Amino acid sequence: MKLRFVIVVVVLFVPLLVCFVMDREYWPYSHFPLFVRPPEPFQWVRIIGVRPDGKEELVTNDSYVSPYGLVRLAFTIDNLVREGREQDARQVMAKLAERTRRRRKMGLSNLSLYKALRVYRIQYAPGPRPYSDQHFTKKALISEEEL
Amino acid sequence: MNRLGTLSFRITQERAVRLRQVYSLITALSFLDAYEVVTKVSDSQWNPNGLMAPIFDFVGRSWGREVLFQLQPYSVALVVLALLVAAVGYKPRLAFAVAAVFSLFCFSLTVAARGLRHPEAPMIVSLFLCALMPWSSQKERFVDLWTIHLQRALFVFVFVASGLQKVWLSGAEWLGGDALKHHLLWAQLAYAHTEPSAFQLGFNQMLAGLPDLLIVFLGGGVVVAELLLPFFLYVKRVRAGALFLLLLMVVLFRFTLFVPFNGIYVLFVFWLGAFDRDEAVGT
Repeated sequence: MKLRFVIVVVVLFVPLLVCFVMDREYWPYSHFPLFVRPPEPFQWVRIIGVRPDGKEELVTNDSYVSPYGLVRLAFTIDNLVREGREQDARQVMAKLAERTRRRRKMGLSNLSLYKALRVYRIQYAPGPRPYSDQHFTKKALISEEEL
Repeated sequence: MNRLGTLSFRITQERAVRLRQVYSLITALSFLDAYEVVTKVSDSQWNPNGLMAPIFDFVGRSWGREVLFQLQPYSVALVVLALLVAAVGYKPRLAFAVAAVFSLFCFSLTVAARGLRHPEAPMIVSLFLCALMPWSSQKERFVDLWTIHLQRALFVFVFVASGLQKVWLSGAEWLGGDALKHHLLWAQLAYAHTEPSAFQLGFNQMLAGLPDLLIVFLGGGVVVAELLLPFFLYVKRVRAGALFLLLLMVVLFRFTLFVPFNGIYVLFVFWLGAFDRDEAVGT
């Protein structure tokens, strides 16, 4: 009983402590670093649609980046850019745009609202107000794809 | 209490049955819920070797991972079925073992471009621990569910580790409430345009707009609660209240920060007074 208990403790908790000390995760062992990083400066990826008249607006329809969701895509692009893989991020957007064009041609869904998709990485201005795309300190264009 | 007594967790067979039923059903629901959330906005959609392969072909392919990814929906069904079998009481150890093994295929374990998925990990580890438990005994009135000690310790580790890292990596920001405010507003920015929920009602914005003193109380309160959790849980007199507040905290996190804490919900069960060990037996 005692030996069995000790074995399970070692198998379960030693890797958990290793993850904690090394600040790395080795699934299923984790140090559960949820929301522990310092918040500033805050940057995030925005996927913007360009209307035929040139006006930009936030895309809210997942169909434009199908089979992704907009949220997941923002996470992915943000992670790629953080790792210095902007070329990969552009490649992702190019392939998604290609899929969207193909789906539009096939008449699978009404995707005629925008003539292009732009991806910006925005550094938001610090302050007490909620983060807003109108208040930023830096706005970098990551990719632009015609639809 | 002798040494072996402290390591054992002896409870009556009737209570063990109730625990098995409650745990199995909550875990089954948690799996279904986590899978629904994960497939909607999270990492299973990203798996570079799965459905996204045509887009992420620069990452490279791995047929093993591709197969695992395709197995996901079937694995979820199998896990839920195995848990129902465990709830009924037919070969519960085997049923938990099956659920544990197939639970490994339910979620894509990679996160976009970095790290691993961890919110569901405690639930999966917990299933393996359940598979080690002798759930019934032919001869005795009591059974020794000894891995409950470890389930409890895992639960405590999740929170204490998170609390320690908050202090270590962004101590002043968390204790001063700034980090909490940031995360609330970030979630509002990231999810509000696609996720029809509390985000669209501006709940996060309202919370972040609370007076500074309240934000400090909430942000600091989260860290203090996480760090002092062992004390609150292992002292029986305050355990029930602490569990209630903790549950409230993770549910609020779920709706404001959109993190599925399903891997944690199931571990609450092992702290309920109804399933506590019979002290008299251990002595």
